[in-house]
Amino acid sequence: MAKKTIEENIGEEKEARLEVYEVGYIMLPTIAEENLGEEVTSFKDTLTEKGATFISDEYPKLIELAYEMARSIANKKQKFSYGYFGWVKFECSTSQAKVIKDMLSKNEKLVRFLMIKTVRENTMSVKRAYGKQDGAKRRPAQKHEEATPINEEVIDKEIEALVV
Amino acid sequence: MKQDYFSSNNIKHIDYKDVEVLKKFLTPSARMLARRRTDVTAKNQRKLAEAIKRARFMGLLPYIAK
Repeated sequence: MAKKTIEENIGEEKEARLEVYEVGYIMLPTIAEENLGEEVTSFKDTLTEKGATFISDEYPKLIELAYEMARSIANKKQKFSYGYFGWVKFECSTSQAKVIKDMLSKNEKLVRFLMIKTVRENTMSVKRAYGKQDGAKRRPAQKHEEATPINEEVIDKEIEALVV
Repeated sequence: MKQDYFSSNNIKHIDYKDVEVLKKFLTPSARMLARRRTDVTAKNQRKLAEAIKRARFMGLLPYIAK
């Protein structure tokens, strides 16, 4: 009996534990740009309903996918080579994370999604290295135009010397 | 002397969305480079492999490039 209660306690603790998750998603490219905002807010609302508290996010952008993806929508297989890629980072309990994952897999507005455990801090590396390199490469070398006045007499003398 | 790209650039978490960084560790045919070519620590190589696989799944990187 005592063993059971300990197990129960552990189970409760696990449920109460909060973790940071990140969901990367690709929305259907068939969604019009005007309606994208609405779709994103409704997508986020469904997450908050399930007990997620947002940390950071990125608004979806239309990208060309590296390969063609197939997704069956309403029992019809469709292929996509473009999609709106965005991500959200949020915190929720481990038990709610499973509920959210199941809910996302049923969402027919998404081509694909990826739910991973992550950390609260920003994980994207700062792109300073590339910026510096590119800047150095792209900047054309400045032409130094020498502003020394041309002395005609000296030139004439030099030409004469050459001719003679 | 081997130099780990991630520790020298102070990158603690290898993000799958960081496609420009991940591309450095791929061959022209989009295969992952071996550890002897990347000069990355074993721990970071495992993280890198995971990040590349995630990026491939999300269509940010190709599985194969012609």
